[in-house]
Amino acid sequence: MAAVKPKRHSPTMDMTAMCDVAFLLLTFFIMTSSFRSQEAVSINTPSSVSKLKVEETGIGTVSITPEGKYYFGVTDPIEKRRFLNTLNTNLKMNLSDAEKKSFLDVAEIGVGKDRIKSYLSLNKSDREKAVLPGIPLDSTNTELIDWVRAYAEANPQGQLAIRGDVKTQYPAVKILFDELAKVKFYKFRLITKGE
Amino acid sequence: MAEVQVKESGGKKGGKVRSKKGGGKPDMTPMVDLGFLLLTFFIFTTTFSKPNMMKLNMPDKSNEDVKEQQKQDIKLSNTITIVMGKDNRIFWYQQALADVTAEDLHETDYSASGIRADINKKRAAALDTAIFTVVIKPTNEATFENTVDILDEMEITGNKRFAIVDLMPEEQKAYQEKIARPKGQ
Repeated sequence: MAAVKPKRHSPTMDMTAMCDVAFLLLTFFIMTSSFRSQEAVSINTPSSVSKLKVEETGIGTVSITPEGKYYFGVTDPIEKRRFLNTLNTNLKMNLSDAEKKSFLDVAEIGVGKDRIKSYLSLNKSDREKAVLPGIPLDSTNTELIDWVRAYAEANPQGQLAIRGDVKTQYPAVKILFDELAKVKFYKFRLITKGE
Repeated sequence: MAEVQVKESGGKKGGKVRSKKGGGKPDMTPMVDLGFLLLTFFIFTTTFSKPNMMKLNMPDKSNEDVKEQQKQDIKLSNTITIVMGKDNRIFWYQQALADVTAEDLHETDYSASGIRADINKKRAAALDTAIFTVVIKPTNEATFENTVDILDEMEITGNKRFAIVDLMPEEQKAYQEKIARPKGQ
């Protein structure tokens, strides 16, 4: 009679299932998270104690660089399309379909209506290299206000957020506040980062 | 955990040709490690990159409102005026606008023991704490960060009544005089 051998436990474990789970979760998170699109300008926002989070939709953002240049961006693709159509009609930009497409690709537009056609007809790599003049806003030319109004017209529920750099000088912010007050725009959001 | 397969080295010439032991299963452990590593990385980077925002409502500047405000008599002790200047310097005063001088501008800083303490002290001393108003006056040399910092202080100290206003010529004069002096004098 043969001795009963104890069953040998092999120390290995089947990792396949665990591997599947890991990659499944990974895929899920990558798919659901929205990547921040390439920003035209790097802006270091000041910090605040505010706990309010920036929403993905319903926000039109005016960015002000340390040099006082203005950029305008809309995060939500559907809103952006509506905004583009309104802007195109209001400012008589006469953008072609190809130019509209590249407009939707750019996260933040930093050129006024005079140069926007030539800017949008550049290819992607040239566009990143281009030195942008910013959307004009001064006492003689308040084009940025037209952009804000176009956004408000296209998205009545939308809110305006202002994203300034730590080093942005106050006059650049002040002229924006003043010009917005002239068109009865009193409520904004200031974008900051948590402390 | 991992099976280490030692390859038989130094085959003897006359040795038997061993057939490879067919494990059939590749070791999945490093792949799991990689998967979870990437997963962790993506979770951390996506949740922390979301910026915050703060609300800011500016006053309506239409004419009727100005008349309304002029009627209201605001006692000096119920207000504090904060002037933000060059190089992150900050001043406050509690004085009639017409006769503010460089001596009335008290210098402080953006820290908790600086401007926050001053605001709280002045509010406690106010005749009517409910209508205590903070007037924020950023000069042209202030930065956006200064503005956000002060708005932050409003939130921290719980002041609901505040306004961002431009400098008057008298204040401008006093400020120019004050900023020309080095800090602490």
